[in-house]
Amino acid sequence: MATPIAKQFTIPIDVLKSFQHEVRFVPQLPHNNGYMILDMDMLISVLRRGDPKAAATLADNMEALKKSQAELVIMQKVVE
Amino acid sequence: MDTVQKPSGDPPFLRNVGLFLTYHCQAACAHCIVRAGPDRHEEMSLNDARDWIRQIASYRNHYVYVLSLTGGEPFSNRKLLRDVMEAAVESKFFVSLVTNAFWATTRHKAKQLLESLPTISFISISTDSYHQEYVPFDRVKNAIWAARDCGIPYYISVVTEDESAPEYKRLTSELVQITAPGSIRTGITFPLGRAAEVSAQLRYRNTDQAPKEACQAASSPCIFPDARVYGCIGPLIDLRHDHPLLLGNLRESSVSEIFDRAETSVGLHALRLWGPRRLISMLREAGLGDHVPKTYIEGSVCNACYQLLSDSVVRTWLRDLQNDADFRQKVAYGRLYYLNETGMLEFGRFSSADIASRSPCLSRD
Repeated sequence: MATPIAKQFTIPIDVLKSFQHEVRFVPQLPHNNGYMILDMDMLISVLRRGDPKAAATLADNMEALKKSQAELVIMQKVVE
Repeated sequence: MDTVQKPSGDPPFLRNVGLFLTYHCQAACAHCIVRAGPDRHEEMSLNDARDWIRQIASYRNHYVYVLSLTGGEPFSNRKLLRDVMEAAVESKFFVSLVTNAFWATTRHKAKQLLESLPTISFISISTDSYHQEYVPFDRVKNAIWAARDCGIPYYISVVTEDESAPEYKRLTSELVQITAPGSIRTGITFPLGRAAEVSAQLRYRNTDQAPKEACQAASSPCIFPDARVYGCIGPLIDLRHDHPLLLGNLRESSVSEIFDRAETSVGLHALRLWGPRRLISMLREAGLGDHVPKTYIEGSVCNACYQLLSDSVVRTWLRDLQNDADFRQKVAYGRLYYLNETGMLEFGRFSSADIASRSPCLSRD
């Protein structure tokens, strides 16, 4: 199995400029195939449920994410 | 579609994997692309499921965190469902389920059933005019109530070929009486599988413009009972040819081998970044305009992708694209820029030394 090495990357300037000048469109709604994203609703549900197994699973997964240098960010949406 | 929903974020690649447990279903919906139904009995063996779950769990230090159990109808074989869920939870996965809710005969029984299963982290309930020929709407209501009472997040998955169709509007107006509009997800029926037999009756809106959106479905591969691994659970599963979203077969390769290859698949990630429209534009520039679709189903990225990959010349061109160093680089850095993903850079042969310095992303709004 190939093992990725955690690295930090620099985007070449010409590639970066091409991204800055293009517009990317994402769907308004996610694909409805039952796939779950670790989101606020899921987090709240697990914490409220008081299920030790679910909480332990969540903790394990968050630890795995932390090891791959993910961050937990909670943002307040700006309403204009 | 209703504007209550906020624009979606891109799902992270390979954090969610689908297990297609069975082709059996109580319903034989006219729109079903996999032709699931009461006469189908192919299902994933428990031994295979356990083996694959173990492999997925040990892939890159538990990189995958959700297993999504789908079909067919996963509740068709409750013993298999329970055993697979236990294996998944034991391996510390979150488990999400996709169901038609046939089992929710009453609120009480629905709640009992959900509580009896290993921890369900999410449930997707399918209903629409096709499902309702087989599964009464009351069962969907019972399942919604039960999910809510059990504290399980859910959404309702509705498909239609036309959002202005009266039956779609009627259904969604009934749904908003019992659930928040944000929990309703609409997809476009696809004229494949059983739906191909009734395609003449489907009232799509067609356009000569390729959809501009990126594909988000290709972030989550799905494993089928025969060990095929697809990059998505869309219409491409109907194509038996070699194409970028047929990731491999677990009878021939391991989960690690298949997932590692998927991390560096140029075609797959180009679809995730820019959707089929970019590939269509590149095909035209390459003088292959005769091989791009002439019309598209409005709003359907899947349709554009399916049409493209149905063409053998396009498939050959995509295979060659894998060796296009410039484009491969663009896709790899595109994943970093737009999706915060370094997988292709890490697995591919890209040199790097410095700290990534990235300008803010373009707004997704």
